[in-house]
Amino acid sequence: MPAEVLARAVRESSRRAATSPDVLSDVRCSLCSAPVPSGMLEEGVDQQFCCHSCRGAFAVLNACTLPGVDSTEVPASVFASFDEPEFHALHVRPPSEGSPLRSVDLLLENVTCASCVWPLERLPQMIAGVTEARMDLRQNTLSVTWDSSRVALSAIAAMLQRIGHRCHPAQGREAAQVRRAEDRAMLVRLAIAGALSGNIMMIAFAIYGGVLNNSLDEYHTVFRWLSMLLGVWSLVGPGRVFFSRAWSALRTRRMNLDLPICIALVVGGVSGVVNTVLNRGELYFDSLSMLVFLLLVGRYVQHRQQRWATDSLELLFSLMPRSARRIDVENGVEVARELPAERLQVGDIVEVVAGESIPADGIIERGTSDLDLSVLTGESMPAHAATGTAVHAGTVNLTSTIRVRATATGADTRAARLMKLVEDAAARRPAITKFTDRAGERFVVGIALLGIVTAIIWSFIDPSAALDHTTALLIVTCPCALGFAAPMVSAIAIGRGARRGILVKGGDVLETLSRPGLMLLDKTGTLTQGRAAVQAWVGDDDALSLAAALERHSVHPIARAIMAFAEARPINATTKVIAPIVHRARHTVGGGLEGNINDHVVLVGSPEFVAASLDAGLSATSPVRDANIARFAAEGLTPVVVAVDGIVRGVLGLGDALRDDARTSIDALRAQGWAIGILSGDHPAVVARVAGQLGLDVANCRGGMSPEDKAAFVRDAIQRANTRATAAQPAAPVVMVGDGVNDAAALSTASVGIAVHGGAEASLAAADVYLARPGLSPILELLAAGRGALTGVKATLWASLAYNLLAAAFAVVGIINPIVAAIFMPFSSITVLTIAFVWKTFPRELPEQQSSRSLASPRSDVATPSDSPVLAGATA
Amino acid sequence: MSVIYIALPVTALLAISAVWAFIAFVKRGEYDDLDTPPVRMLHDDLPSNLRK
Repeated sequence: MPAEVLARAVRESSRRAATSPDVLSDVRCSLCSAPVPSGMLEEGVDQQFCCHSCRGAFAVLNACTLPGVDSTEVPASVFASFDEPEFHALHVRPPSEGSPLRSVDLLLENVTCASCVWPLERLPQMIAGVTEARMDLRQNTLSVTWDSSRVALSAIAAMLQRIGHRCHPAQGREAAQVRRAEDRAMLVRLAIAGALSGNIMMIAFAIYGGVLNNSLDEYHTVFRWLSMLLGVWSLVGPGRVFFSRAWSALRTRRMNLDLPICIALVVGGVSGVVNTVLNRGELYFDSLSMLVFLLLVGRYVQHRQQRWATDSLELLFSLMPRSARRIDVENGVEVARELPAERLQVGDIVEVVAGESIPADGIIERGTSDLDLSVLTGESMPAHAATGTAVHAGTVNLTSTIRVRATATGADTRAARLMKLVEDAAARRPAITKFTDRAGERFVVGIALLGIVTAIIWSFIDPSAALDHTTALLIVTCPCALGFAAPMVSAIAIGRGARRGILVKGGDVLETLSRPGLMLLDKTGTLTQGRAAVQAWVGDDDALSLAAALERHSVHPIARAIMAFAEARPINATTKVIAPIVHRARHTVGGGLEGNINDHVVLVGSPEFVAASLDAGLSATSPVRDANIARFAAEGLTPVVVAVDGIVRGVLGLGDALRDDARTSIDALRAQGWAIGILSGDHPAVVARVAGQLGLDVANCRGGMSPEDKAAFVRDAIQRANTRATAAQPAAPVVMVGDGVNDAAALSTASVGIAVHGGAEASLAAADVYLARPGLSPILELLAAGRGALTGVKATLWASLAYNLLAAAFAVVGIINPIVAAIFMPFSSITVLTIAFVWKTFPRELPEQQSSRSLASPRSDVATPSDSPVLAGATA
Repeated sequence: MSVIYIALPVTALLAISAVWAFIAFVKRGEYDDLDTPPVRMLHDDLPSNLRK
């Protein structure tokens, strides 16, 4: 099956590149002896591994724990929900009717290469009770069949966790089954079209042979009838899809490329049937059936490529936690019970430990903590929450365990309502008129005119031949090469994009991005890193190292930022606190830390907290520091005061640092003619500071925007662009780039929505493009690829147009016949296909620092400590 | 040349059975995952004492 081989080759190349990110080293894997990619090398460790699975398998086989296998990170209780009846009702089914066994599809994280198949299929089967484990590398799912009376599913999940693959129930099984049926139907259509086309070609050989030998006899008629039967089968069988699509386009009064193709198919088919019955004239069934086959091949390859991108995104959705820990009171005793978040009801009490996201909207019943609201509001600094504070589903609890009484669950939560907004916006978005469809429109007009001209000319010269020549013209000028090549160009571009960590959901996205327009970016997590970092420090190094030593006892994002800042600073060795001994470290939620280090009393926290702790009060002791606090506040930074032995020794200014490549990327975008704006939920002063740093026009930079405001702003921008559009100059695209739930509605409203690395589930669902690589520079590659893809499609258009004009000239002068058409068709297709393959979209070579975990879990960059230097450390 | 009246149905039957076989394999899901089976075939068999 050539199409299958082609599709595989395109996808294989992208998968290989996505999973073997960089140069292989000389070191061999301790488990499987495969070369270790240099990105996986670890210094100072005896065991080296080529992939995550090998590392995990080694740990299991040696019953030891290695660094990098996060077996301790997730508590076993997470998998307790896997044994709940609710979970089984949703995700588990018997492998066959009446079987006592159970079967489930699990989505696995960290599946990076083909070597993962061995441990993932073999190790679970070592658990007594597991009968089968089969991996699907394409979808990263493991299908497990087990005997539920002998082993619990949670034990299997914990086993997979131990070898380094966290698992999740595969979501949307119904949708997956529908798509699988669709894939299979496409493949069947392709098979039938291919077989028919091949056989008609054989018959055509016989017919042409007879024509050339002038030995027309009874067999000639037999072959003509056979050719007609198979040809009609090809048109009404596999070819039916073109008719139905052209019809649906006509009904909505739009043009697309299927229309001129259908004209050729209908004219060729009808005249062929008539000619066969009357036993006169030419048949074009060999060309028509090959046309059907090639067009189906093009569409199949594009479909497979887009499906791969969609599947990868679906994996990311499923990585989100969907379980909740409900506290039930049974016989006066509190019992914690894991259950799917959808099962929560209003009034339930839910426990949320530090690091987890809140499963429902509600009110804090007990406990105080700091919450990361950035997903919902775009606010970069954690917000303090205490008993009685209203909290929203999706926000992350950062510091300590809280209990929440649910006031809205499931579809009623604010996050779910925002998703509804996303769906509405997506439904309202008008379909983009693709370049190929516009070209198809012109083709229809052009072909019709040529047909009329040919008919008129020949009715003067030889009225009996007029119909034949007009028919021949309509068949040979069919834009089949374009219909074949345009999906190929975008399929190849999408494949190359995927291996560079840019997942594109559809080919028309690339086309839309080929012209500059307005690009609106979210601030938190998009332009900035989405986490607190020290931006300014006034004070002495001694105090800073004491503060860092104290902060070592906290997991708060501010504490991590201070530690990272202190470590990155070249601190004088004499002033560095060597092996600090910390006593009595106390943490006041929403305030700060207090502790004794090497006989010093150290306070780190908000000005209010430090002032309250120091008897003398802050302003009385240090007017200079006061001025700095005011200055930081004016710049949009959060002041953190460091006091040692009752004296204020320094002030830190914390803010959200710009991404390393933000400035260069924005400058490059502006050089390409894009207008840049910021839409943020954060405080306008913070937005103004970032806009100032990037030198942006303030007109398009807005702070304090709600998700609805953002969507409305995007809608207005699109309307403005549309009113300026003319027929020759289509509307400039309005692109939204964002990462949070608060951006989702704007992402789906925009001409193209781009979700950046680490984005939340909602933004992935709403966006057309997902950047699996951190930073903004992939956007530049995406835009370059968009321009490349459009010029590629145009080049194929010109090539196929040249062939068509030549063929039309032949037809008009009347020297075309089925043999010429049969030679023309594959030649034009091959030319155009070659152009599609060599055309430059995404560069072929990989960027230098390709992340090996390009499809790693979203928001993973939030959880890990800072790995990039802090920008703009304006020290006084 | 009248042998063609025998040869044609025979070849048609062959072609139809090949297409039918392909469709049957597609429906059995043999083409759903093209990445894992080629890898799976490379795995060593389990030692006989571990086989269930």
